[in-house]
Amino acid sequence: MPVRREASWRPSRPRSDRADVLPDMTSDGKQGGEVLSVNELSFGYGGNAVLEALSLGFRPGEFVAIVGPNGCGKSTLLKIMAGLLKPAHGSVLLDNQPVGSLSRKKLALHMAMLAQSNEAPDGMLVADLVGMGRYAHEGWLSRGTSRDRAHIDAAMRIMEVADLAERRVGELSGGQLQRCRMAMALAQNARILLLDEPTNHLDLKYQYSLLDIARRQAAGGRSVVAVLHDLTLASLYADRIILMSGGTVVADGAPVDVLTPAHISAVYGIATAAMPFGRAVVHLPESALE
Amino acid sequence: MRGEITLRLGRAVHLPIRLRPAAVISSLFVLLLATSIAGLQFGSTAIALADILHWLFPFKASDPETGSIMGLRWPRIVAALLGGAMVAASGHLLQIVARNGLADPGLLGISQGSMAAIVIGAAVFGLAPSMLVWLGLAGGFATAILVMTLAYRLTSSSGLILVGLAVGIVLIAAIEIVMVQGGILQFARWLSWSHGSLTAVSASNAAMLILWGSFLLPVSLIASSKVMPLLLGHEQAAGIGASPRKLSLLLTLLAAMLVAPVVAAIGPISFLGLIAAHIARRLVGERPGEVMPVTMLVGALILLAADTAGRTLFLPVVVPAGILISIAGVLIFLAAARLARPRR
Repeated sequence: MPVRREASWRPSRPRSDRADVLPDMTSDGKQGGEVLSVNELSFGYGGNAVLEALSLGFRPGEFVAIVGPNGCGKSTLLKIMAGLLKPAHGSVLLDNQPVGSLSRKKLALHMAMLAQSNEAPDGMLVADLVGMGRYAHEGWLSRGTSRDRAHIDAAMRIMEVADLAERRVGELSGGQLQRCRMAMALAQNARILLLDEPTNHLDLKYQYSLLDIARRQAAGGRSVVAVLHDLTLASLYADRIILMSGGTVVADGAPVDVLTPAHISAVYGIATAAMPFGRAVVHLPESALE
Repeated sequence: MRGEITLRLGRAVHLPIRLRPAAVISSLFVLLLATSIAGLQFGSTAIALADILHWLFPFKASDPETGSIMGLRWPRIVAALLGGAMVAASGHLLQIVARNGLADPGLLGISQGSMAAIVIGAAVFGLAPSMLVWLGLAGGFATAILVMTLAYRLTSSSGLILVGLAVGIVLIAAIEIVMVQGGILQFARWLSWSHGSLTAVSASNAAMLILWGSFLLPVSLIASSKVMPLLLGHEQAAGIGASPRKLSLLLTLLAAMLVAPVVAAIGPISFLGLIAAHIARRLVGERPGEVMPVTMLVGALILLAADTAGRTLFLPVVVPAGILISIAGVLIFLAAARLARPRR
C-alpha cells in the first residue's frame, strides 16, 4: 500500500516536519501571532451577565485549557468564539476579522468545534458521522474526493475508531461515540480546534489518549482550546490554563502559575494542598487530608 | 397493509448496507406498479387486465366504456401516488428539522393551517381554486413557523407535538365556525374533505398535483442529500460549517409547499408522513439522501393502497383513505413512541 501523505497526521510524527503535518492548513505564516483573539467580550442571558469584559488571545501551537466551576461561563465563551452566540459587547477576531462576519462554511474551514452533547440519531453510520467533518470542504459537485477520504481515514486512525466505521451510533458505548465525534472534528482539518468538555464519557485510558492527541495537534501547529473539568488532566496536558470564575478570568498562564492553592480557594471556595508532579499539579482537598 | 409487508421484508432479508437502498427502491417501484394496476382494475365495475393494458397503450383505440371508467380512475390514482409521496416527503423533512421522529404535517398543525387558509379563502373571499393552493401554502408555512417558535423553548421532544396538536385543534375549530355558516350540504362535503378523501378528485386536481409534484419532489430529493448535518443538532451542525437556522427555515418552507397542494386537492392525510418516514428509516437507515426517495415511494404506496382498499373492500360503503391511514397511523405512532430510545 502506498504511503499516503496524510499518514503524517499520525501523532507519532515529530513536530519538525510541520509543513508536511498540515498540508492544507491555510496558515499565513504568522507564527507566534494570535490566530484568535477575544476583545472586551461581554455576554448575558436575559439581563444576567455571564461574561464580563473578557480579553484573551490564542496562538498556533498552543493547547489551552479553560477551567472553572460550573456556570462560570466557560462553555459560553467557547460558543461565542465558535460564532454560535453573538456577544453583547466586544468582539472575537479570527486573523483580525470578526468571526461574525464570516459565513459558517468559511469559518468551519478554519475552526472545528466539538459540541458538548451528542444528538446524532442512533441509526446513523459512524462512517457518515465522521465524514460530516468534511462538510465545509464539500461543494455541490465535489463530494467524497480522495482528499476528503484521506482526511477521514487519518482522523479515524488517530482516534482508533477505524474498525467502527460500519457500526451505527446507537450500538456504540459513550466512549466510542465520543471518540468518533472527535474524529469528525479532526477530519475537518481546521487550524483551530475548540473542544467543549471532550473527555466526557471517556474512561481513564481514552481521557489520556484524547488529551494527548489534542496536545499533539497543537504541537503540529494548530491552536487547540478545550473546556475541561479535571484540573489535574488540564495541568498535565495543556500548555496554558485559563481559570475562570463568575464570567471573568482569574488567572491565565502556565499550569503551575495558575493552579495555586490561593487561586483554587478563591474560585472553588475550598482549601487544597497542591502537589506538583512533573508538569502536573495535583490538588487534594485539605478537609479529606486531615 | 402493504407498508407492513415491506417492513417485515426489510427485517427478514439482510442485504449489505450499500446495496439496500437500490434494492428497496426497485422493489417498492414494482409494488407501486402492481398496486396502480390493481387500482385501475378494481372498483364498483371490475375491468379485465387486458382491457387496461389496451387502454394504457397509446395510439390504439380501446373500448369507449373502459375509456370512460379509466377517465374517472386515473386521476384518483395519480393523485394518490403524488399526494402520498408529497405528504410523506413533507413529514420526513419536518422530522429532520424538528429532530423528532414523530413529526408529521398533520400532527404539527401545518395541514390544518393550509386547510384554514383554503377554507377562509374559498368560503369568505370566494377565491378561484388556482389561488387557493398559494393561500394554503401561506397558511401552512405561517402555522409551521408559529408552532416551531412556540415550541422553541420546550426542549422536550413531545413539547413540539403538543404545541402542534393544540394549534391544529384551534385551527380546526376556526374552520368549523366558517363551515357551519355554509349550511348542512357544504358541511357534509367539508367533512369528507377534512378526513382526506380522494372521492372528489378530478383530472384538473391530478394535473395540479403533477405540476407541483414535478417541481417539488426533485427539489426535496436534492435538498435531502444536503441536510445530514441537521441530524447532529444545531450547535454541532454549525460547528462543521452548516447554517442550521437557514436550512431549517428553507426545509420548513419546502415541507409546507409539499403539503399545500395535497390539502387543496384531497385534504389532510394525517400520520402518513410519520408512518412513511418511519418505515423508510427502518428499511434503509438514517442517511436523508437515501431515506427521502424511499419515504416518497412508501408514502405513495400507502395512500394508493389505503384508497384502493377503502373504495373496494367495504362496498357499497366507501371509507376515505385518510381514515384508514389514521387508524394504522395511530398504532404505528404508539409503537414508535414506545420504541424510541431515550437519548444518551
